[in-house]
Amino acid sequence: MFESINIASTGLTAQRLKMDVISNNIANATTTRTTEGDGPYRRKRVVMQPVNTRTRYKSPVYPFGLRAGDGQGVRVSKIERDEQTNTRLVLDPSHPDAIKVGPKKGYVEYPNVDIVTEMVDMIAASRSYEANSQVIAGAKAMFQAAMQIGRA
Amino acid sequence: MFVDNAFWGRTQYFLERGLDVAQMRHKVFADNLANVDVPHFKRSEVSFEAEMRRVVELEKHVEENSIPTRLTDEKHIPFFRARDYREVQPKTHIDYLSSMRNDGNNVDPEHEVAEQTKNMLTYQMMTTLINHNFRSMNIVNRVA
Amino acid sequence: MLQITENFFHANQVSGDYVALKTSDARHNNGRAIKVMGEEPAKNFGDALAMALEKVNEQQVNAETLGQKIVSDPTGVEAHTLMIATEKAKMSLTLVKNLADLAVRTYRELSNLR
Repeated sequence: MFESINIASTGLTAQRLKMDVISNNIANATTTRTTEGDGPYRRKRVVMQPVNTRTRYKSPVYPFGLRAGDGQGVRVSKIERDEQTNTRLVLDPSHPDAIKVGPKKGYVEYPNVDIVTEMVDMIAASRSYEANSQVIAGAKAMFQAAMQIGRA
Repeated sequence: MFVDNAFWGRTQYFLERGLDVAQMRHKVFADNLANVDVPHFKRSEVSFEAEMRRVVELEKHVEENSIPTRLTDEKHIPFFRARDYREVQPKTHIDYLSSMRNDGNNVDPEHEVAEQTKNMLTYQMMTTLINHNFRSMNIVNRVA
Repeated sequence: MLQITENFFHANQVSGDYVALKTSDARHNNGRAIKVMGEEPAKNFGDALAMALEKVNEQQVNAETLGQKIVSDPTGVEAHTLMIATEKAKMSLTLVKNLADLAVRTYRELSNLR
């Protein structure tokens, strides 16, 4: 009866998780030392997938795998560290975390968090959250309209 | 009692099928919106009204006016085949041909929300019409 | 114009990718039977009323089954299906009851004519 509400709630959960990850990134934007000890904080990002793992697009190798319309929503498959973007280097020899040996001597490595990118992601996540909650409001209105069928 | 081959019963049948299709469509839109930033996701859509229109317009044709087919094998399909409007089913298609963003996703949230609002209003209108039908039947049922 | 003779298959047997099975015996089932809505007409008013009551009962059972499905299988039933089935059952019941009442009242008036 309420399949659309189930699907929208998976969307809400995924977007909220993405917001949590983004706010974690923003809070740790200047963290130069982590508990793992292997450098500054690296930004994390969220990888999302549709819930049914069957293929969603046609491929000439497997055309029969395409089955339309039985999507059940979205789920977060993993939260991974972004190792590809370069960290920022700031020259500050008196900092306790400055690099002591090598060609980058005296530089401090700051995390690869770009505030502008994070803010844009946050706006996109909140817009998706709003759209999903509108889906739930729409389903509720439809259900209430159906309840009026037998009334006098 | 609610015979489907009467004209009034046909409206009732159409409205009920329309409600089913609207519900299915809402579910598909919910799925599209939930997957709005998943890479390589292609949106789906439900098609029903075009098929129904084709079947209804086909009813104006008569079998005697069409060219007869020579069928010599069991598997041959005739040229004209009268279709019953009760056989039309809604189908869900994946739209993998429209333009995509850079990550392979082709969901447009504004379009989905607009279509969903239209769908919801149509659903409410159909329930109102069904209610009118029932109420007019109730008027007939009252004993003088 | 081509004449379709006995040797050829008739267009009514073919429907897209479905072919009706050959039924040569009364016990053979049709491959794709479309339900026929009509039935034999009743012989008198009592029979007609009995058949109508049977159909009303069928509709009520249908509505009750759907209502029970809310708890046993909620993903299979839709909200509007249940509401419409309940309303139809109620209306047919009202109609048949009114007809039966009118019949009894008419009989009573006729038998009081003296």
